[in-house]
Amino acid sequence: MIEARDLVFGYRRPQAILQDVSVSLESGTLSALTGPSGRGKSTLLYLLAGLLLPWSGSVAVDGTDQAALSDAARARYRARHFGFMFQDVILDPRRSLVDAVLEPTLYANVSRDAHVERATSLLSSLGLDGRSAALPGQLSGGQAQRVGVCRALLMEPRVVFADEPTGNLDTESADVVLDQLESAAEGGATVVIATHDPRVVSRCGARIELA
Amino acid sequence: MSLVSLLRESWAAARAGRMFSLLYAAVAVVVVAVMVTLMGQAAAQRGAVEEMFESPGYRTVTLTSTGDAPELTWDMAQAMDSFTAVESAWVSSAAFDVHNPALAGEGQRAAAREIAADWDELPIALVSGRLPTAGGEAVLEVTVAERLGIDATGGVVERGSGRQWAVVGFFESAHERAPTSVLVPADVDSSQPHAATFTVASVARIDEVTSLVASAVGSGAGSLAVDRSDEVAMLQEVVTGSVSEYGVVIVATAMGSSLLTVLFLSLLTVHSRRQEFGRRRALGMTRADLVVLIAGQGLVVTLPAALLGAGIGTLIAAVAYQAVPSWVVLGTVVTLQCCVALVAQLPSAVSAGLRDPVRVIRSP
Repeated sequence: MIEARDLVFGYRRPQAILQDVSVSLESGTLSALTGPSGRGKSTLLYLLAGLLLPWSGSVAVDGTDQAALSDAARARYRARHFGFMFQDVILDPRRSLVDAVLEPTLYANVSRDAHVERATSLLSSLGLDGRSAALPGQLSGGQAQRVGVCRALLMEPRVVFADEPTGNLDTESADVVLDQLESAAEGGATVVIATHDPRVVSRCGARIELA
Repeated sequence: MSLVSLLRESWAAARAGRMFSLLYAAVAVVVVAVMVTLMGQAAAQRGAVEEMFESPGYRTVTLTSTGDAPELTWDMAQAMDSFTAVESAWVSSAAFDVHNPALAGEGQRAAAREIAADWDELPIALVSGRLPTAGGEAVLEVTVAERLGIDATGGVVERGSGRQWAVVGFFESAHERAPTSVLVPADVDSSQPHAATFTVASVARIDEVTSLVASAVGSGAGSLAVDRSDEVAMLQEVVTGSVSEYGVVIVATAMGSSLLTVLFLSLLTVHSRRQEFGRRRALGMTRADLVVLIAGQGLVVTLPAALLGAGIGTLIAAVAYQAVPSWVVLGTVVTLQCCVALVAQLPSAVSAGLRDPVRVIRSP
């Protein structure tokens, strides 16, 4: 569960993008952060993820106040408990798909080998079976975003943060990605999606509108 | 991240970023090879200088009696010879003129000295004849014999007082401070010694041996003049010091160039990989791990490259200067290069760690 209270944040003082924003996101839900461009959807997403720190207010994830943790502790927390999907999937062009999916194990300090099977299984379930050794340069945008989903879900995170995950995808690929995020939510994860895509919003159980 | 994972990632990144890795490696190879080569050259120069200043002429000291009362004795030669640091020693009288009486009008004159010494150890090389074995015999320096008109068939030299010595041999001086001209055995009963000369085993022991000899002379040592190659010793210090400074300048220049080049390359590398680092930070890599990753990438390239450079430099130094730097020098140069590479990468590594990952992710 994520509990954010009275968040105030901007990239340059004193101009705040978010002013006194409070949200409460339950575990096991698929939540959409929506609103027009420039209103701070992605910014709120990264604030909830602890990648940005608010000027004031607090963010607690399962009771852990993110601002109270040191930068290193927040990084370790992210590695162990959060999964990320970026708008541009950002895959290392030199890593094979399975290695790209397994990247979070490096930072969570867990056995890579113990997660290979899950990584392969995730790739297969997203239609990338037999492509484990392929390089990102051989993939379409939709396929690359599927790899991003696999990477986000590998560690079975408590929270998945997705920033416009379907922004560059066709309908079929978008559905595949959303299916996986939905499954993660059904498995108990809190899934937060920053999006302006009505198809995504319609599939989310909760919606936070930034006006 | 575990250290093993970090090193593995560093190696993978180094392999993936071939262009920058090759540039890093080239810098390390060239810098270390140049340094080792020049250090070899400096070592060769230093060795040559030291060898030159260790020649017997520079290691020879003469104590000359300047007082009215005689302090030197003829048996001092034997006493000085007993010091382990003394290679050869002799006591000589003041110079006196001799000439060849066989020539009409006395002919040319030459300086002669009475010598008390172990003649076999005197720094002279006998060219023909033999060394004196009795009081009435003399040996002549080859050039002096020519001047006096005495050849290998023999002859005599005569002092103004009418005393004569039969010429029994001809010699060449071994060095510039060795006995010269005309040498005759000392008449210990009627002559006074004027100077005591000794050759020390090494320049470094000259002071020590001079003090020993002076103290052996006794209370009158204050009236002894010491004639030694002080200027030469100072010159040796200056020259070897200059060579050492030259080595320091080489190292400083090479390391400075290396530092600036690696710093520049590192800034370029980190800038070109900012999105990768943003991704890593977002996925949970700590700042410290990121710094180690970047520095480690430079190190895994620099270390083997520096070792290769050390090998190349050693080869060049051996062929060009016949001097191979010691293992200590090689190890120091390689270690220095690795340290420089690490230090040069720290600013870019730290700046990568401090960069806001969100800004990078959102603005590739």
